[in-house]
Amino acid sequence: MNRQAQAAVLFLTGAALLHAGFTNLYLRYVKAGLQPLLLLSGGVLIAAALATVWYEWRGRRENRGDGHGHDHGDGHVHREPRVSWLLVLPLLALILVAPPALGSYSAMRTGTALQQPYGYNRLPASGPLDLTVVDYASRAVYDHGRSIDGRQIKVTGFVALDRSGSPYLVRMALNCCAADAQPVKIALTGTIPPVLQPDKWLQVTGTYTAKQTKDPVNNGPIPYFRVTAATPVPTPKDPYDESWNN
Amino acid sequence: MHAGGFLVIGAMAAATLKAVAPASWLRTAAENPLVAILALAILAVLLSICSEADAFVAASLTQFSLTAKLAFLVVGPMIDLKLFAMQAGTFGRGFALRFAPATFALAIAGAVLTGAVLL
Repeated sequence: MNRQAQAAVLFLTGAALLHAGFTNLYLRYVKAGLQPLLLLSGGVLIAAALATVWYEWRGRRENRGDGHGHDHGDGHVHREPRVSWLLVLPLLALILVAPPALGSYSAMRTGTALQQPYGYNRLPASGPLDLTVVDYASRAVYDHGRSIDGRQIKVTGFVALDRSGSPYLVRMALNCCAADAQPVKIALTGTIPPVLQPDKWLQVTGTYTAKQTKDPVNNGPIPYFRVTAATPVPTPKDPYDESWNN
Repeated sequence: MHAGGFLVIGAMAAATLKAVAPASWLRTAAENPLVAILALAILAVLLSICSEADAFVAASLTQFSLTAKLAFLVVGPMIDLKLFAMQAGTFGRGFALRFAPATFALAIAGAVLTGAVLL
């Protein structure tokens, strides 16, 4: 890989990082708090690319100008080994494919990561409750539904189906980046829409039920949710739940 | 640029293994304490999670013993697939092939000793 190719790859990688950082694309891969670092590294890569081009241009001009008697001791072109070309792969993946956030495939192959919370936020005294998947699941399992029993509840997550076709509502919870994302699952019962597509985002309305099941992957608890209505919703801006463990 | 190429190899291997290897093998591994330690140590190598986030992943591995989780936490930052790829790229394949197993064994030994004394 010669100097020009290095500069081009560095510049494109930096530009792709800036693009992902300024749009919401980066939220598919890392947590929101990493946006400044992402933009910074994009800027550094572009600066490195420009510096590479500049040194290359200056080196050439010097060589042409007083090529005699002025020996750098570094007459050969600085080349990087072929393995550097692999850097093009993630770049192409980001530009051409833009891999989606983790969905039902990963969710059903990983056990539920539900943990006992340290405490619960106080809920509004009346009206329907808007809960996250993690909030509903931890209140249902570890608080035995005391704070939510008899209330009308709305939960938003994506659909995942297990091998027997039973539906789950899932939200991936993340601490740092998609590599450590883990699912929290709620099993659905009641009036479930007849056709459910995995990975489609749903807002389900319904009530708490004491029924529970075990995740076949890690024996973790999965609470049930009695659905009365379900409406498709667009994918949220941040597909992951970052309130997790904070 | 050179190290970046190797980083891509390591990341590809880790991502593929994470997507392809079924998590259910962990469940059978958790029953035997020695196998559990080894299984979580290998999992740490395969997953290549950064040390900022691995404690949360370890916390969700509820069916494992504390020593096994400690092994997961110690082995992860010491040696994983992307580190191995970077070492192979920077210091040469021969060095990485000797250095990586040594770090792996030492990290497990450290975790088991600490676990035996403290946990």
